[in-house]
Amino acid sequence: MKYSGILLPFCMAILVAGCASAPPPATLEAPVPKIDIWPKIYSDESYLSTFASTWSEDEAVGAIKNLQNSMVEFNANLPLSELSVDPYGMRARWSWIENGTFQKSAGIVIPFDMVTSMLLEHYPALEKDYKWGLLVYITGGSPVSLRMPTRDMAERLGKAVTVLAKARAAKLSMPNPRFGAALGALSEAQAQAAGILPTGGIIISWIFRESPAEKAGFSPQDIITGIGGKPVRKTDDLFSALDTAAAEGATEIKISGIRRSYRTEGKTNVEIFVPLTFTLAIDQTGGAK
Amino acid sequence: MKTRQYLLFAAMGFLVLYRAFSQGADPKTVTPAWILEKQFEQQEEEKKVASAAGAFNVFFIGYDYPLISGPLAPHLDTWKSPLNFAFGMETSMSNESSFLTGVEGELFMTFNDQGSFFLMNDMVMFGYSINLKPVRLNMGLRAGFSILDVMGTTETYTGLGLIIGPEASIYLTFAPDSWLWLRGRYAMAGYMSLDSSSNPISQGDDSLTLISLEAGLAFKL
Repeated sequence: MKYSGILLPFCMAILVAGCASAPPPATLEAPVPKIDIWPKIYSDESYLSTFASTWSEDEAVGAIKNLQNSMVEFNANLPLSELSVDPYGMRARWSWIENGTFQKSAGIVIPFDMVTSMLLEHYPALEKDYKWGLLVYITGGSPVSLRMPTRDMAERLGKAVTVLAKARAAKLSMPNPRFGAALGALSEAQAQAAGILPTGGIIISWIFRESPAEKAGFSPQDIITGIGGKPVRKTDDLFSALDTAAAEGATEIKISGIRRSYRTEGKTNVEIFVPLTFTLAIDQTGGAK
Repeated sequence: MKTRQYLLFAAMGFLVLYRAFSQGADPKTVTPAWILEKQFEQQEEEKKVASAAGAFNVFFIGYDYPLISGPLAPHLDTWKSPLNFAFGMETSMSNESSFLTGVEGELFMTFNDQGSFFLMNDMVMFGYSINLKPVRLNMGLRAGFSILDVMGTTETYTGLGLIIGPEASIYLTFAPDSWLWLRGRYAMAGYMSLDSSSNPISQGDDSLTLISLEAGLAFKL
């Protein structure tokens, strides 16, 4: 009996610990890590837009000023407290209170002569109100991303920045509107997987929404190997063939490619690479820029 | 003339074959890998979530009616009591038939004018669970420690032992995430005395055969 005072609580403790540490129900297994050699698929959507307009510089400056209360910086998600725009640049600030009293502020600057490119963006997965945006690339700096509630506002900002950037002789490099995709060189691993040489094609990183490429059925991760019966080794091969075909009055052109897909064999999915032929409509008003 | 015909047919055949094999497939007919990978991940996720959500993982508590026999049993005759309980938990790997593990505590207590008595079994179980919808049949082997403590007017002793035995239980769903359960176990226990005093265990009556008939409620964890 002299041990029971210790043993009973001890046995109870073992039982309780046993209950607490009993095997959990079938839990989610950690995904098997794999090295992904293919371009990442983004949930953000880039829309093809040339931001063409007939606005004057004054109209462009006015258009940006009108948008002051309709835009937020991508991460800050705060209304702009200051906005200063002139034909040379755009400066915006926003401020917030931290720890009750301490006011902090941050800002962005877009020097129009240093703008290199712009993308009209849509963020469907963003859990915030302002789901449309303009991503402005600047020479030697991080891109500036501004979000707005509607597509029209984002396009107006893009048009205004384009007018002012062109007026400041900025070296703009906009997406080719005849195709509408971000393209890159094939890596060794990608080429090896597809069974071609690294110089045997180019790979699509992402497709612009509403672009001829999207309408032709292209998808991110597709490999373009030829156009009009000629091999494509670099992006210029594709764009120059498109421009040539457009100049010759063609309304469409055949593009050969390879698509990575899967075939189901029994209970396993086997990675396959399928040769495809795309028919790309040629827009006579477009062209490489 | 015939040679010409053969040549013509051969040329036409070549053209047909060339046409068929030189053209790639229509892009609409080939789903890109990244879309399929998303679907695979989603299917896998759904399967795992369904499996986790449906896994048989319960806490149970119920009444335990013991039938004791063996050399030590006659010494415990004076300690029969209605205060007998079983509680614990059981976990199977999935909602379908699968392997099963569990822990259980059995507690038999008596308080009367002759003193008090405790018999407590702490056991783990390994077995297999068969889903017979809406009934689940669990079978396995349970083993663990047993502690016996007698504090009577004539004798006082404590025994520590091991207990092992097969069991079978039935779980019947009676409400969402709730079950009625019945269990039967045949177990053998052997004890050593923890007291230097003379007592039934130290004198050689150191084993028990325990048939446990249990019933109660179980709830999803």
